[in-house]
Amino acid sequence: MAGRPDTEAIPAGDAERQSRDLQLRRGRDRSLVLTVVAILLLLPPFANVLHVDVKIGGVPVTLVYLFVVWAGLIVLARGVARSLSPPRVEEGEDPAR
Amino acid sequence: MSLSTDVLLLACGAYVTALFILAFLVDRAASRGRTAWMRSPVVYTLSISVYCTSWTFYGAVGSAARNGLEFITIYLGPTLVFIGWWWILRKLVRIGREHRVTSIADLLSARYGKSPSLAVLVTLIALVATTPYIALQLQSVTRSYQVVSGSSDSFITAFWIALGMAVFAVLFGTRNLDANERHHGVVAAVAVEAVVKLVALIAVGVFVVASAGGLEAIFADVPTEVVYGGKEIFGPRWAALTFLAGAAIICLPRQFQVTVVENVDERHLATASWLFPAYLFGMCLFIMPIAIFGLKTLPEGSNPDLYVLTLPLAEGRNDLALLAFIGGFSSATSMVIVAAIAVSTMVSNHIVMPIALRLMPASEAVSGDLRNLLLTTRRLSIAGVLALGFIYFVLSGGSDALAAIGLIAFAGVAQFIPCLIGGIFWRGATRPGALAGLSIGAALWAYTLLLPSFDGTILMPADMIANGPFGIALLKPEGLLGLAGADPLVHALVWSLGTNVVVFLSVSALTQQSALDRLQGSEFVDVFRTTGPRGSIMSTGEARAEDLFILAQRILGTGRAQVLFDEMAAEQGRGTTMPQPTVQMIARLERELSGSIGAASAHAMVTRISGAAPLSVTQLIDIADETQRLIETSRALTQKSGELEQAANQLRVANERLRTLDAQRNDFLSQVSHELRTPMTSIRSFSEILLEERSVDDLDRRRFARIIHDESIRLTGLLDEILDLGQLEAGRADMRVKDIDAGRVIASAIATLTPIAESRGVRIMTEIDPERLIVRADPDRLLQVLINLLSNAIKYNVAEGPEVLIRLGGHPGNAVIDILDNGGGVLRADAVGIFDKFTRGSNTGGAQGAGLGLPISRAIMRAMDGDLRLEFRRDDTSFFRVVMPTGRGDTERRAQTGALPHSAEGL
Repeated sequence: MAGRPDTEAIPAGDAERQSRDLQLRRGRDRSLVLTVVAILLLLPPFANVLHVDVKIGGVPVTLVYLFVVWAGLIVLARGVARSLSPPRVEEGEDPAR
Repeated sequence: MSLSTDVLLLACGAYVTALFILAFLVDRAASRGRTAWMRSPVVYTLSISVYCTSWTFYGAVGSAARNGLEFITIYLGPTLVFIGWWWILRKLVRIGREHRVTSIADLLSARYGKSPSLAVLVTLIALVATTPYIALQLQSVTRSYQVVSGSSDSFITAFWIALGMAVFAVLFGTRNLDANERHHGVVAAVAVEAVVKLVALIAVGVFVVASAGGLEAIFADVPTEVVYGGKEIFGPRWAALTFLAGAAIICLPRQFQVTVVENVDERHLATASWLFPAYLFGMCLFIMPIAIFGLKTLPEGSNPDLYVLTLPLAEGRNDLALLAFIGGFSSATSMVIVAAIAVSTMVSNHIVMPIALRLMPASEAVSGDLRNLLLTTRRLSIAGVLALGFIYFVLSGGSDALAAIGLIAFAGVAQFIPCLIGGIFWRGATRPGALAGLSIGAALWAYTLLLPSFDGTILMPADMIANGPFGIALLKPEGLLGLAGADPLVHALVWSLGTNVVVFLSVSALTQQSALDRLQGSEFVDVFRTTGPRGSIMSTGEARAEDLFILAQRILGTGRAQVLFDEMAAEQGRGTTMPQPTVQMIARLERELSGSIGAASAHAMVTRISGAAPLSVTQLIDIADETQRLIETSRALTQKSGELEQAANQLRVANERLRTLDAQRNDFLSQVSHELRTPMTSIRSFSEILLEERSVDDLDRRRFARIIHDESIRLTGLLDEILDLGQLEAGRADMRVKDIDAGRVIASAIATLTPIAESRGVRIMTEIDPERLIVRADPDRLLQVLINLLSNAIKYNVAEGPEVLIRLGGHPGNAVIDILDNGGGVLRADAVGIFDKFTRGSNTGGAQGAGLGLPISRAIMRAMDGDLRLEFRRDDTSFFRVVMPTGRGDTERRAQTGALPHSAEGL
């Protein structure tokens, strides 16, 4: 029962499956990192760093900061989602395993 | 500046009709099995955007105008949850699929031992939180209608709107009791509405930016305080709001409905993980510009909540205002419909049905038309929920107090978070813990946030809010235990959720799990690991397949029930007859039924019909324990068999050794008897001659007696040697090891053998370096070894001008005595067995001796921590080397002379 969460042992000899499993594991790591980074960037005290009385292109800098971070997160999340769900998966088979 | 009522009604009517037709077509296509396009991740994502209600569409701008940037938190929370979809949402969706979950109340009750009481509690909290929220939607549609049309009959408008929504929800939300509570028609309509509201809001935003002359113009000469809403924006309230919104996207009944229950493919979640944040991003992009522009251009006192409508109207863009109105209408209707369906499912499954079942006699629970009963209760619940919302709207008089209800509802459903997250990640979470945490959390939420929000109009008088109950200031709802000064929302959140978590954890830790609780707990927590058929927790009792079939028919409908039972019969290999009511079969039936009526009700009904009642708690514990024991036994068996294999290997090795030893012993015995036989034979034959032959002369007699004497001595020597060897090998030999001078022992060995050497013409030379070398050895034994080796070298040296060299040398810690001769030594071919007993070299020229000398010598050296080896030189000649530890005196002496062995020569 103990061991890695959510994964099962890789059956030996199936190279394609192994590489998929590896890709999945990396995707999972990225997902965790992205989530933690997102939380840090969008919440105090980190978010306060750029909270100053300045305007960029006429727009207050904090507003710009929030939307830029947000957009960046969306783009990165798209990459993570792709690495976590391989494009071709046989019907009925779960990509998580 | 307003649109004519006719145009407005016509547009609304056309829009609503289009939605009805769309939902109808999709439902029909789905019932024919054509759901391919519905299985699109984009549709799934759009349906999740039911999160953006009119509270977003109108309210976000209002919030931005009043509090600045803060409104973004409501969309950042969900963004964070979706970015981290892999960790929570994916697990929820998987659990929802595996356990046919119909609502969040169903999920929680199923997790905590299919508890009906927990389901009721969750349903009530959801109902209390949702009703004002629905009222808010009615209010916003009514207000927007008033603004756009200029009419003022608010209640009539709201009534018609509520009625229209009820009809839609009843028509498409309860068309069938789909096994998984999926409503394709509703989802399609919600997806279209999602597009409409996004397009409408962006259109208004683009219009505003364009008419203001760019972003720079909008933000010009606006103090940043207006944008930031005060100095400290990223403070506790920011974090609390973000957390609340994140909790809401999971726990709001309507969000749970679209995200978990309506999910048709787990992979859609991957797409939604970035597409939904992108949707929210789009919704938020123009909120701030619209708010600022409204503040700057519209007259003082206009309602910021309606800027989205009033700005286009003020600029004379009636078409845009109509689009905005449709957008707001879309956000409100989609929320109300989905929320009504979600909450009514809970109400009918967890409150109405259990009561109805209890009131019904057992026989009717089987034969009565449950399907119709279910549909009726579902429809009535939808109507009831909407009616509640409408009544609430009327009672609150459309006051502005409603505007705050969004966050209050969030805080209410956030109470589910501890037992939800705890339930899917912690096996030890118990039902009493969940019940206690949830109850106290909800109570504190109502006391500190919900009731005070009515400003003394409902239940809680204004005096109590200001001064606490009976004037006890410590119990002031918005400053509990003197924790005043904090933001009311943060204050309420800290108290309600904090207490909730603490109580949930501690009660869970203090109470025992019921067996069903434990079983469901491990199935939920390990949902990614349990793949095989799940263990059942039912005894079959006296269930009859026919009764179960009738039950399935009543709930699933004849067609589906028939298909299900045929499948189960086929699985059991029973062809087309009724399946045997086995444990697995009943468990599967229960799972299928729970897709329609929730886990707790399905459990209750099936157990009721199978007559067996749930297994008693002790039986359940036994089953759980049995399973655990089986797992442990099998693990132990695996380990045991590994150990056995190892033991067998060791046995085989030991056996082989034994057999070798046995063979050696046999060899030894036969050799010993052979060795003994030769002298014995000669002794016997000569003594026979002496006894019988009288003609033997005196000389011969003496000769024969001499031979007998010599052979006896040889025999005694041989027997001594065998005894010696036996003792040495058994480690029982008596060794008197002490520090001795090696050179002296060598000298006495030479002295002993000089006569023999001289008689054979062998020259003995020595090479002693250093002259005095102290070794640790038994002097007599060492002498024995040296004599043995030296005599061998003398005896078997066949060279012309034979010479023997004894060389003494020392390495640090070890002394070495080499016995070399010019006869070539032992042949390489003989080297292998040279130390075996009774072995003699092949170039010995006439064999002599018993062949025990070398084995004994080696055994002696080894007993003295030294060794005896046969060393080969490059020219394949060999010599014997005696190795032994140096004595203490030697070490001391070397230390004094700087560890240089040759410097000892001068001493």
